[in-house]
Amino acid sequence: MVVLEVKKTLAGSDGPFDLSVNLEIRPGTLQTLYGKSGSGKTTILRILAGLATPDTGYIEVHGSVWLDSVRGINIPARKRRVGFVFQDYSLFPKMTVRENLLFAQNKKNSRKIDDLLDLIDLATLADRYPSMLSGGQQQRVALARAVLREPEILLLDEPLSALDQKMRAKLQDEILRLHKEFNLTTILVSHDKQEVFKLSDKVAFLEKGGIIREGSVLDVFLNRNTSNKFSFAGTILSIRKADCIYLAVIGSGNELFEAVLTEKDIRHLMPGDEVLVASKAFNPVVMKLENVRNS
Amino acid sequence: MNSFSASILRVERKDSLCLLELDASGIMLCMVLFDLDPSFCCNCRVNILFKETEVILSREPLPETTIINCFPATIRTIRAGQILADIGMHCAAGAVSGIISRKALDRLQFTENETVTVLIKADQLTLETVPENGERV
Repeated sequence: MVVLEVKKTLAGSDGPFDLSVNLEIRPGTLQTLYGKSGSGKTTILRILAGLATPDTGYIEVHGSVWLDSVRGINIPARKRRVGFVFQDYSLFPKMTVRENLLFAQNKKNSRKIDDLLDLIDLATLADRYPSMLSGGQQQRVALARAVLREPEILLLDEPLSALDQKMRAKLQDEILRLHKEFNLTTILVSHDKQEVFKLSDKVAFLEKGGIIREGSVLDVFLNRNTSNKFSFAGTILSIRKADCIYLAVIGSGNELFEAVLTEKDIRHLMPGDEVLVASKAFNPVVMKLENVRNS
Repeated sequence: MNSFSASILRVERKDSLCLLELDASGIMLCMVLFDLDPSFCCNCRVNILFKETEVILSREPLPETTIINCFPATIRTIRAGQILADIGMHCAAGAVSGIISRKALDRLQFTENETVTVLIKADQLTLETVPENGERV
């Protein structure tokens, strides 16, 4: 369990405001901090990593106290086992991919690095320098480097915001795979609602330093829960009339879907609206891909 | 999308599969789903959602079919297109609509103010918790 209770006065664009957050995160959870820029999300990650100090606070990670301002405990950043992935990759430019990973490893184990390179599909790029890699490939190395530290918490600060939509979707899958494979407790900062829907177990919605809503994605964004197993967030891109019904094109990540709407639906839905698309486990038609290719 | 306010009367479970019995203003409905979320329990208020395209209409009061959910409704509006028709109805639980084929409408010759039977399969119903601000849009 990660217990976080911190207070810190921050300088905002409209003047100082108080960051005041209480969070409990179960082991293995992917917790997202969602909110506008300047709401205090990144500061929370920096406090967890020991890169910033709260005015008062208590941080406990899986039974170890990292910070207790009352008892004067503040474990230094280098002794906190966190993996931190930033938006700008932050790789060493004069080290190859393998050397970047070896540098991050506490107990040097090249076999483990090979396994991880295979897992994230970077084995063929192991001897290249960061400047020879695409943004997406560099961020995968940054993710691998963070995981190699065997962190007690993985902190992801808008790691995909510099990437195009297609690469974002691929890297989102990588994050989920690493999170599950290594049973990580992960805290993601994001302001991309579709990304939050795809990745999060739990969401804390921050505004001006405080958590205004907290819970599952559906609790936080819809204020309600449905019994459907398959759901994702999307944006209505267009609605066109077809006979006496309407067909909406809905974008989610780099995927497009079509959904039938009725006259009643379009009274309160229009292009640009963010929507939840949901279906029951009984509905999808499932076909083996090989058969589709051979047919 | 159709939405009825209802309460959960009974939950029957077999492995992860659940059969729910619901009361929507006197209309008894059954639905099946997997892994019932704890927020849906007996006696709690919920919204039942189902798409207009999943609605089947019959002129028979109690047609012999395998569809477990059937209830009477009165046709209020008929918007006939070239291929499909949008049938607006009213039942004990409120407004309900069905999208049927124009061919079916021509064959059955439904008219406004006529009472029909609405049929909906148990696997086509979805549950929704009642939003804090009350009714859905």
